[in-house]
Amino acid sequence: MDRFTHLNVASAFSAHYGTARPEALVAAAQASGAQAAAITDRDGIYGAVRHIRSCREAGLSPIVGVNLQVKDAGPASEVAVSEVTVLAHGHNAGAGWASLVRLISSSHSSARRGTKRTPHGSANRTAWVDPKRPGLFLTGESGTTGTVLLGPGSDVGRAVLADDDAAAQRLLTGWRQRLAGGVAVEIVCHHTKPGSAGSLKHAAAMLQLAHAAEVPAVLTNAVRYLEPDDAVTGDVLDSAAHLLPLGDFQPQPNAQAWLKPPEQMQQLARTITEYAGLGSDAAVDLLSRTEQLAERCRLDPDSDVGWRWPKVPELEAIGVEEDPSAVLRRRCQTALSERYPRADGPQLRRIEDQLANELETIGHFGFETYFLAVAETVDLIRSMDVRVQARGSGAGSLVNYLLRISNVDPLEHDLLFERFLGHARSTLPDIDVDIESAQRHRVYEAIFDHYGHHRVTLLSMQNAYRARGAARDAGQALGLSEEQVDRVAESIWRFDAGQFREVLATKPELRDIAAQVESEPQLDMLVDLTERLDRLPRHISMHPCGVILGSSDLLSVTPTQPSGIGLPMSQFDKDDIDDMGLLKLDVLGVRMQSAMAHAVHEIKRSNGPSAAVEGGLPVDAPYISAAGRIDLDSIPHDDEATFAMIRTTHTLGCFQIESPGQRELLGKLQPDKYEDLIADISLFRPGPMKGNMVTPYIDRKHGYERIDYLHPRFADFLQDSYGVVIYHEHVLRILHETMGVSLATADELRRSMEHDVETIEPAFRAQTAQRTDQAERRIFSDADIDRIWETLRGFGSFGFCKAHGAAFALPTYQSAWLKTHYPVEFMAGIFEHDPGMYPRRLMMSEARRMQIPLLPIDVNASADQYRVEQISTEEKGIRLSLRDVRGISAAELSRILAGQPYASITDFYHRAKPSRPLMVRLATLGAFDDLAQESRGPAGRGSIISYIRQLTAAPRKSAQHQDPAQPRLFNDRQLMDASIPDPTAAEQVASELESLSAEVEEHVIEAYRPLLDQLGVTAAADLLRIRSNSEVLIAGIRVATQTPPMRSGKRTVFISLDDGTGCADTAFFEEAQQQAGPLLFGTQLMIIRGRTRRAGERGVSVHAEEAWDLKVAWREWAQQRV
Amino acid sequence: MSVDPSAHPAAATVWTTPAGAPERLVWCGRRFVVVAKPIAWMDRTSWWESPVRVAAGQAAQVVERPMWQVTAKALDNAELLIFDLAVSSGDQWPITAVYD
Repeated sequence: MDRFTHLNVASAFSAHYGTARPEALVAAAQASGAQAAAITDRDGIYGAVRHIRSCREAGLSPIVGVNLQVKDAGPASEVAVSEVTVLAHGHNAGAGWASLVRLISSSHSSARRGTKRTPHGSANRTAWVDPKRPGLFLTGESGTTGTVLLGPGSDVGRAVLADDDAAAQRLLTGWRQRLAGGVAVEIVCHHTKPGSAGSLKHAAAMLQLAHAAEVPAVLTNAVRYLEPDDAVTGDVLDSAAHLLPLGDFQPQPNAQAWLKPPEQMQQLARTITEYAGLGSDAAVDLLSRTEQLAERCRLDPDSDVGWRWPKVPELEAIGVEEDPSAVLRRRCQTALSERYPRADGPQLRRIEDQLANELETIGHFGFETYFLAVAETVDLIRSMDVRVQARGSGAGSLVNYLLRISNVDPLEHDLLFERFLGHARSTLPDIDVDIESAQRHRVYEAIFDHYGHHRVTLLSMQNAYRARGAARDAGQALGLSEEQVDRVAESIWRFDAGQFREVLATKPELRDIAAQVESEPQLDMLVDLTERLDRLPRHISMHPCGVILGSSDLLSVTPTQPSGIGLPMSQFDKDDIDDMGLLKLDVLGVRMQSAMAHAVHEIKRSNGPSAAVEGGLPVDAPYISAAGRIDLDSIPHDDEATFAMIRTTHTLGCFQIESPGQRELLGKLQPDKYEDLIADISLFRPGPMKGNMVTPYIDRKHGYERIDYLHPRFADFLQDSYGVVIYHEHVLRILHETMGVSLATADELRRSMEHDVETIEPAFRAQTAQRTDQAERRIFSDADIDRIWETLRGFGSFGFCKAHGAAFALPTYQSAWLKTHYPVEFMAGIFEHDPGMYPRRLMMSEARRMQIPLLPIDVNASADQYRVEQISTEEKGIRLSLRDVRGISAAELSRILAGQPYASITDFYHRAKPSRPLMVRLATLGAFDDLAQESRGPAGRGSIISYIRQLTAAPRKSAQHQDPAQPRLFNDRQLMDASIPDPTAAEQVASELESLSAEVEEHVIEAYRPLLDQLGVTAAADLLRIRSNSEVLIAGIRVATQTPPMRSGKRTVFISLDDGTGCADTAFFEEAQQQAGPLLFGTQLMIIRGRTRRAGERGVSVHAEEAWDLKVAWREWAQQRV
Repeated sequence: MSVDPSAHPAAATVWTTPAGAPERLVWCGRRFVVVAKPIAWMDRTSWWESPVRVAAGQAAQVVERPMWQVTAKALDNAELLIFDLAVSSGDQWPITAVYD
């Protein structure tokens, strides 16, 4: 027998422990002649689905288990922690799998948490079970459903190591009593120092114990990596798990824990038995027991795991009592007249045909339940008065539109169902739904309640090492200073950790670091170690939008553990869902939806019935209720005022179109209809950029180039893009027209074009040439075919799905509409939910540009939200929210709100009971300025601050005894010392930045004004007035850095600076990147020299030539002046 | 009990069997013979303290070093000591620990 099955194998899904991916481990097992392969990760089966998938592909039987910590839950002060490996038995109709899954979930139970704070670092594992639990979970109706391996780290193994035979026997007996027939002693020899855990002596003593107690013993290698070379990676992961540098904690003993080949394991068995004095039969016995256990644990993916077998909610759970296809059909039919009230004759027939076509496809796959479940969920969300909108290719479906899953009319935009759901699909299509981010938790809770907590769990995601995180952890392992690590990490910009060394030679921002790597061996090592960590899973977290819906057996299918928001999340990620036969809802929290909801709320609250007038809209507008409530989903899509605003490119804050690149594109494209907006969003994607679709679109739109539809038969469906082939939908229709294939087949052809466009050429030419009209004449001449093919070939993989663009365009348009008609309310929503790419400080600059007054924090007027406040009959402003004052606690916030209004500063201090630092911070922000204002005019900020320092210095208790009704001898004002100077403007900015993370009164850049004036720096707002191609200097604080897709494929770095007058967008091309080097990504305050470049009528950007660190420049300048 | 190694030379002259296991050694000018079956084990290194390349695929030998633990008897006074010896290519083997 030369086979050996490793039964204890940790993959990289044991975060900060394992180094090898399940796929690689399975491949190695297969190569060694194994018939089965096991995965036994720590605390879960995060990699199990991948493992099973790889095993199926390799023709191996999967074995799945888990490594768990065991603790005695007793009252002992110092509880000894040990660990066991639990393997699920197979071929028992899933009983082993279910037991394992439920045991794992129980080890993560949140109920036990929170009593004691767990130390940081993943080395301190939070999941554990008490010793009784495995027995309880693994004892099924028809026998034992799993085996517990008691290895060197188990309580038994620890007792053996301590030479405490009596304890070892007693503990082993305990396990056998609790789990009859499900216990094996796990022999591990890592050739560690004689006498330590995992040493030959320890292994031999374990084997002797097993023999004496007549318990089966199995041999494993407690594998944590694939090859000896991975041990270095293991060291770095251990360092990350301990949050300590190498050398500061007990490291792994050596590099033996690799997936050793059968010969070595057999040799190991002989060495151990010989040392134990048990003879060669014992070695054979040990190896055959190992194989017997492997046999028992082989899972049948079909019968044990229900591989790819749908486990969707029972019909009653989604409120369907009869045939789901009849229900779906009826719901769609009913909705026809609501969605298309004016459709008649041919149009209605066209709609009905489309509906029949979609229903047939959906029925063909048996997806009715899925669509009904999504509709049910969307209805549920809408019933909670939460904004909800479908995203993605699902917008191409009429059924989705009729079920109100999507608000995009696929017929209006000529979208295609076949792009969403063709014939070839066998897995469920994704219907993604966006909701208000601020309501996300509430919505999730409602979904759990609605379908039942036994049917729902959140999806998780594995966060893998990327270059920055990898460099940080590698730096920590090597004991580099925080400063050194920061310098490296901050210069890393979007590349795979695995390419670090390669990138080091080419990227200008890494130039300094590359030089240091040459001379400092530690940095050289850092590069190697960073590359090793590339893409290894680091930790699991809740997926941003996935909710798993299953049958009532869900919790026997997937283990769950608490997520950050308390609700349970599955240990599986999105790539596991299809194979596990589970249904996933994508419910994504989108901040813009919250911002818009807040704006709509503020419109009604601050304007009431005059909302329409305030927004410059017709008083009888059907989408505004009498009370002033706006139905954003019903606003007309042809509002010229909105397009005019978009054309100014003052689109900061608007969904999708606020980035510098987008603003530049808008400047050129000058959209004046909704289709332009869809095109704008679609064109600003890697594919259309590289495919050179932007320029023809713009040139044709503005009449610089003749519109050419390729062929008269295409004119109909290429109208929306002036004949430029941009969308996947265009290609589908072209192939449909030319080759005479169905749209579903056309989509399959399009998908194969993405991989290799040439593959379809022969079929395209032949079939297109055969197409004839009724008179048997060819429709497409050879010249036509050549021309069309050239376009298709150029299109290749570069297009974009129009349904995606159309779905994205909706919130884009809605946000632009709000910014146009209700700028104050809109900006309040932006401040409140911070939805975009820019920091709030830039949005405040934008508000100043829009001449919206920002009203300072005020203890009486401010709420826990950004509110619109009427300043005069003409003017509205935005009152800043108390919530964003640094250090304010939830309790303080609610006390302050409950106590409003306050009569005096002392009154506030005693009733709202803020902490002293908060009190001072509020004073520096001017939150008491109004309170201190009395008949003798306003008190100075300086005297208020000083007064508050005195007030809060005294213990509050004594003051509390005062009867608040009793008039005090002195009021606040009399106690203030008016001679104390007010803070300077610079001090004021500093304290605002510190307390609010945004400046209210003056911009941070003003502190450098003397230097900037001397240099002759141009303000961002003035750039538009300067002729194109003028040399300028600009200065400001970085608010955005982007490296968007470029047609050339070369990297361009866009840096936007905010200088208080607005946003200056700069572009660094190759030469400027070389010049800027380490400043490119690491520096916040910058001076940039470059040339202005006009983009369209309203856009301007600066082509950077040189950059400096403003702080450094200031220091040098200041020194020269002394 | 561990013998303080700092008081003694940190290396021994070692003679091995044909298979490579230590069978005799000289330490502190005293001659020892190995009297029990030597145990091979693997110690780890503090590789990060010396400038080594640790690129993936090139560091299989970096983390470990092979060791022997031997029980040896002094020929002068029959004292039994346990030595942890680090395998070396020459006959001078570093001693990492000595126990009595």
